Amino acid sequence: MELFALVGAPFLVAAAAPLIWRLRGPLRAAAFVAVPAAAFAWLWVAPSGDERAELPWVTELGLRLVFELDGLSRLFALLITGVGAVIAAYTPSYFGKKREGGWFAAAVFAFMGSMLGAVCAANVLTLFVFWELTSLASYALIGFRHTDASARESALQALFVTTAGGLAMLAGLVLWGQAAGGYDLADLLSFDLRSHHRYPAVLALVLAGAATKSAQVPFHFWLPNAMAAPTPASAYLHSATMVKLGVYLLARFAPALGGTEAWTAAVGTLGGMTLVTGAVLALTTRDAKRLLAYTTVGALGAMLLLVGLDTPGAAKAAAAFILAHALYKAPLFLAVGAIEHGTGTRDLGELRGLAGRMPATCAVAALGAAGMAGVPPTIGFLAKEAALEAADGPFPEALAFAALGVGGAGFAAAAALVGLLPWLGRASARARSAHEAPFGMWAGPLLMAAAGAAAGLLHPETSLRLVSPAASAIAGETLQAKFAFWHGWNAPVMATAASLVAGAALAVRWDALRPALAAATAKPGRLRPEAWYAAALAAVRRGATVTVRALQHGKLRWYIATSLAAGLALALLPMLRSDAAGLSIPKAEWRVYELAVCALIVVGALGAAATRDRIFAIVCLGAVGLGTTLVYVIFSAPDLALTQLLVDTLAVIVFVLAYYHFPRALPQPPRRTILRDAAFAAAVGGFVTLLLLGASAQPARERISAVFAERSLTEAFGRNVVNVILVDFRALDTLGEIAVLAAAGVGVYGLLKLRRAREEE
Amino acid sequence: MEAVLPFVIGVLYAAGTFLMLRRALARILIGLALLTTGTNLLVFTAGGVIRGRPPLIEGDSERLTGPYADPLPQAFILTAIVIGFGVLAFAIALAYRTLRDAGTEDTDELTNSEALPEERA
Repeated sequence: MELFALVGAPFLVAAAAPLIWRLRGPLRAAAFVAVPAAAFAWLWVAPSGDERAELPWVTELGLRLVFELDGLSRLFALLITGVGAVIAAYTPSYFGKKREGGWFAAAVFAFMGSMLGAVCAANVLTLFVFWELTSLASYALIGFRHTDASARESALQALFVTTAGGLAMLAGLVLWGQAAGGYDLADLLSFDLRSHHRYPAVLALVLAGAATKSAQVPFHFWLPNAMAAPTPASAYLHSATMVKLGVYLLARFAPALGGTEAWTAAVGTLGGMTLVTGAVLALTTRDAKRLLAYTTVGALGAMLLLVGLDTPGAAKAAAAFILAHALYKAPLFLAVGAIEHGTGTRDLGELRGLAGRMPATCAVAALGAAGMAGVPPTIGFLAKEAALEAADGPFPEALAFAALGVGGAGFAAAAALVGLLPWLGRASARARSAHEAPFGMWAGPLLMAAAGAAAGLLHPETSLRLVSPAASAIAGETLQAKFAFWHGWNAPVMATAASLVAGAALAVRWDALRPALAAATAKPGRLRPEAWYAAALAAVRRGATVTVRALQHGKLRWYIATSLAAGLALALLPMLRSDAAGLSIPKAEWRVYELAVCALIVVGALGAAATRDRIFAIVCLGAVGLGTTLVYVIFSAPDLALTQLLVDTLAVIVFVLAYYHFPRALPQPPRRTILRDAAFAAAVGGFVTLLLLGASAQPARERISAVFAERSLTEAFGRNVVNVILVDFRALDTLGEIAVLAAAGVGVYGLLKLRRAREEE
Repeated sequence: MEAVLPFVIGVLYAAGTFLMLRRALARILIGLALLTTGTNLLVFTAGGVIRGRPPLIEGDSERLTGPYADPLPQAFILTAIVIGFGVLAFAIALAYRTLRDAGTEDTDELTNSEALPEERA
């Protein structure tokens, strides 16, 4: 029950957010902070036993909402609500009096609920639904400044990339669930997929979902572009939580999907490449927010790399790094937001000597940067040590070790660029006019950054409460993670020291290095993944244009032909495939006058089709009507015969009256067109004939008319059963029929009379 | 004749379809009428046909006995014939009105649904 409240409450806040936004001052911030803070407190003290909540959803399809809270879910839920509380306090100050802030808060809280649902889901279909909900929230937040075309484009790009991956993931999960015979996490994880022939397909599809969501190479391009979002959203979705969903997914499935060479090769390679790519690209931009986004890409790569290594040590490092990254990256983003708020720019080249003007924000940035660089005593340092320790070994670990070392240097340089250089030295022009951000914009981030240091200092507690339970879920066995600040002079310590020195050197020489680095990484158009995305999008647009041009050609007769052809194809397929008794020509009695009736209809129909003389066509139509009347007479349907005769007479009169006014025939189309249409028409006619022959081959069915035959006289007092059905048993149908006729009559009257009214004008 | 009816109905459908694919409204409407008739006959035949046994209860009987023509498809077709005529009458009036307002019955020229009559010229 508590889990439903946990997932549902943020959605309720989202619905009320525009109203809450009208509150004044601290009350507004307090109202927003209340729910995530309460949820965080509950999660912190929640019993360590696995919570579970279940609700039937669409029982016919076996869909249920199932939530569970294990160590990994709890770590993520704590991050979501903890960072969420800080964001909720930050947002009112960031937007000030602007009305749109209410809508922003609504989207943020909707995201919070979706994200909590995703990480607590114990059923993969539930997981998928919340997974896609986070993509939608991300779309709304990236495109929040919707008057800006580039923001809209970035939002669409993020949505397309992540939902395409989400669909691939769904396909993989369905393949897996079918094989396992259930969609609960427990079903999937207990099924031995690794020896199943579907394993490669499932692995590839799930990996596609994780790689797009967590911005792995070559899908990494959407994340820096997502920085079009307001800064609180960037800090929350695009660094601390949502982008980690891919990592979460793989960590969650590691016990079932991992443990193979394919897993280590695919996940590890993906993560390693992304780590190096992100760390290098981070140093090519002067926009502080984009720089941080690239380091996020790199950090996500590092997490995937650790999950891919698939050892207990790597699981411990991954869990610690997930925690550490959220605790340093979100404050850094929020600090950049505060810098932009105070100076009006986030161009690192224009920011120097800010420390005196914005001391609180400086503290946030410095603490956050310490975590990113991996400086003791932060949890960032411990996580990095643990990662290097897990990768300390022969091939393939050695490759991971190298990637982590390069990434560490990149992160250290980026940390110095954001956490040190803007604050030191003589104040630049921008810095001289800067002012400190309001309390709400630095208190929460400072708390979070300080928590990063505290988590390191109190590492036995951190390990017991957060890291060990999560690492156990990743590894699939109970782990007791231990951390220490000093292991002696081993390889990880050397690597850490080396990467710090390298990072510092890179940061000092950055002004000279950056253009060269940017030029070196600028790939020709064809090699840029973003260009592939653009090409794919252009191809979809071209395909849509071609399809629309082909289908929406504006010619009535082609619309009719298209519809008929599609209907024919749809009806023919099951007919050809069914193992029905085939066709049969009914037993026949042959009488000459009956054949004459048939001939009358056939000649009439062909004559009507062939002639271009309108009056002759009407005569042919009359012949067909007469022949039909006679068919009804022969086969015991006197009421039908009477009605048909009456209606046909009327129809002929109406046709003649109308066609008197019609112009002469249009010019004859080319012979080819006529032959083509005739062939198509013959196909339709042939299909109908086949349908009837097939129908008569079916065994005789029990007739439901027996009821009418039995009760017509005794209950409805009528001897003509057809009449009794129409006016008694199914009288409501007849009422409907009369209504249709009346509507048609009104329509005809209107079409004829309105013309006169206008002509009189 | 039962053996021939499926083919007769097929011819009705073919002729109706062919006419529906013409450009002139006048011919399309004839096609509509043929398709209506063909469909009524299709339902009639598919329901099974029998000679000389209309679904009428004899003078001294209380119910239909012995083999008899199925009254239910007949009731449906009766409705369909009447509604078919209503639709046809409306379509003819619509075509007539279109001809008066647009000055043409060529469906290839009747593509600008947004324009006012005076703009079409």
